[in-house]
Amino acid sequence: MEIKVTYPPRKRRRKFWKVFSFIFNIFFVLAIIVLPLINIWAGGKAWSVVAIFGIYMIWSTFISPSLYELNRTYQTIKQVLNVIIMLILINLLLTDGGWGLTVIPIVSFGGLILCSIMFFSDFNRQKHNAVPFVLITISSIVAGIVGMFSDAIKVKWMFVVLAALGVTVFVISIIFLRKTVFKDLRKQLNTK
Amino acid sequence: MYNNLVMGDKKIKKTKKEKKIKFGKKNPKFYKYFISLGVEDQNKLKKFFGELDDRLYVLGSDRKKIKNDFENALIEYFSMGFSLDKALELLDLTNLGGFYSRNPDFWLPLDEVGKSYTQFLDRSNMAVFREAFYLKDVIRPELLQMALTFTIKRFPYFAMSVKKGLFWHYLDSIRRRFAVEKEGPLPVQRIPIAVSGSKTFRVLYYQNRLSVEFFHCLTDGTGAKEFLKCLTATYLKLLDKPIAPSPLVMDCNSMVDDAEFANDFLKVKRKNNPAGYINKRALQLSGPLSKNRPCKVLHFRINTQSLKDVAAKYGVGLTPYVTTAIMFACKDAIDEIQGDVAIIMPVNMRKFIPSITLRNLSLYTGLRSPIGEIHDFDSLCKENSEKLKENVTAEKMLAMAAGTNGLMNNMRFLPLPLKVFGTRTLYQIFGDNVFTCPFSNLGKVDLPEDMAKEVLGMDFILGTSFFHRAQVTGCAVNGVTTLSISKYTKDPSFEERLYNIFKDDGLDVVVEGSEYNGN
Repeated sequence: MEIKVTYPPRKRRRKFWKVFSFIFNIFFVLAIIVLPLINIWAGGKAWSVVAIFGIYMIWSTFISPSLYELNRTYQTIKQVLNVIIMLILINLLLTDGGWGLTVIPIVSFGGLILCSIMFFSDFNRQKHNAVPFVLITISSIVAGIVGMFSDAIKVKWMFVVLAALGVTVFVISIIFLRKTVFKDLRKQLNTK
Repeated sequence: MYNNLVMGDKKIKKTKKEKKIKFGKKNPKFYKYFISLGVEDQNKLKKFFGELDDRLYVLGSDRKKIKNDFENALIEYFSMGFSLDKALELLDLTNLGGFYSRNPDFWLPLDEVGKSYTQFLDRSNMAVFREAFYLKDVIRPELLQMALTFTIKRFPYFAMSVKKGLFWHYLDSIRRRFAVEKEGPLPVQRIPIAVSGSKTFRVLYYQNRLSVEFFHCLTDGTGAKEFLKCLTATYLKLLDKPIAPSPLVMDCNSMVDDAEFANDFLKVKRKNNPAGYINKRALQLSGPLSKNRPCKVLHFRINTQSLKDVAAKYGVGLTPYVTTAIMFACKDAIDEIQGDVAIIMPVNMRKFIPSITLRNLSLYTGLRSPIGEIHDFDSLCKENSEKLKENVTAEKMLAMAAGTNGLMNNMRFLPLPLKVFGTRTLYQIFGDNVFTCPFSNLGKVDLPEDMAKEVLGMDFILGTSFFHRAQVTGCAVNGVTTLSISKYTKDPSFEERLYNIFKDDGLDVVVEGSEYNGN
């Protein structure tokens, strides 16, 4: 069977990233199995949970990024949420606690500022990703208000800042986005 | 901005911003061309680019790129010996319509078939397919780019990006420059759709081949065929080879009909009957699966009349004959001696549902035969012909469509991550596993006479597979049938047996294709 080649000549592909991601995937699966076993065997605090979540953060960011919505708004929100979850895990599992109530709201409003910069600096394109941005803003307001009125929390300024910043960003978003938010919400919640 | 420099004969004072802009600064080749023109022609160009600027209202950085495309096209016309007037006439800005002058405000829920394609997308599998025309002359990329810029407005439902909702993925319209790309060594590779505003199709060129590749969630073979025909006609017009108006090809400047992007699966009343989806496992071709998907493509070019004559000798039509040949080739490429060989065949539902939609409207049927019973070609041909007549009836296909609608309706309130997990798992159990090899037949593609003169042949290639080692597609244009095989293993048994079957039947087969691209 004579084949006339009618396609461009093949190119040597760099396999480095394929090999690296393959090794990392094996390492990740092994870590999920081995780390909890070592943790149980060695006893003590549940550090393996923090370690596995850390490896997951690297895996989901670099080795297996999202197949959809790999845009700056979604990705920044995802990273900020990952960092907050990581801090909560460290606070609950590895330390005596207490500092989390101070640090996490500060990181949260820092994250909200970062998300806002990412969103508004490319507004024309990012306005189509308005729903997650508005949701994170609303979440910040709710978290800030809960923190402000919670009796268990003594130092409250960071919650006040978080809530105030949330309200400011929310108002600015609504002014700029107007109907876009509701249109996007309709798309996101479509069940057809 | 350019028309502010000269508007008719009346000079208008330049603003500070306009003074900074130097005509052709970003494109030295065009600037050289521009200064070589007389004052009158220079003014014509300035006016032309001024009007162009007004039409590219909504584009950001892509605005410069589209202007650059026009500049390159003008240089190309110049090199072809066209006068400036002729070039400007061919590049008439009314071809842009209002597509780039307004913000996109259009979204579509996915159709019932498109929903599943977005759900079983993973890093190594994406349901991409290609349709390609082979033209008489080598493609001129500068003019193809213009053809695409003009054609896309006729298909706004293809200028979409896939986005993630809470319950389903959906299509959101985008405004951008849709760039043509030079082909790589293998067709139907992944289309990157993750980034904001990503396109879900691409237009490629290589020598005299003009290809379009679509993510299947957007359209099926029929939609892609209409797009390819329209794009080719526009390209030929830009080469000053006008195509007379014909119902066989859409005009890129004609009105968009809402029915073209309707989800016509919904015309069939839903039923909770998943008939046709669950079947027993079929045998798979032997040979290790390649990492590159596909690792090779082959095209068997056969004279359509000869193929029909050979099929008629067996007393069947072309499809049962080719399907039987595929079954025999499968048998030769399978080591097991027990089990079924099953061929999956997409069915165009437009035969049963009155529709002009260019979105997905196809389901499938299958032919199945125990491997031990694949020995008499003649009788299997007749048996397959009978089975196809029995299976592809309005009653059965509409029942399947009703079942599909019912299934999607039942899942509608399930959060997307759960749907994705469920669909992917079910697909791996009941999807690829229950068939040995797909055979997708696009059928005869009719072209208007002016266009048929310029088109030498056509390809249709499928590009997704979890387990299949080979996928076969067919299409016919200008009296030549092309059977294309996408390979997912290095084992050559399948294609060699298929070739020999055709040769033994006295058919003259010309084989074209790609090299193996790794394993």
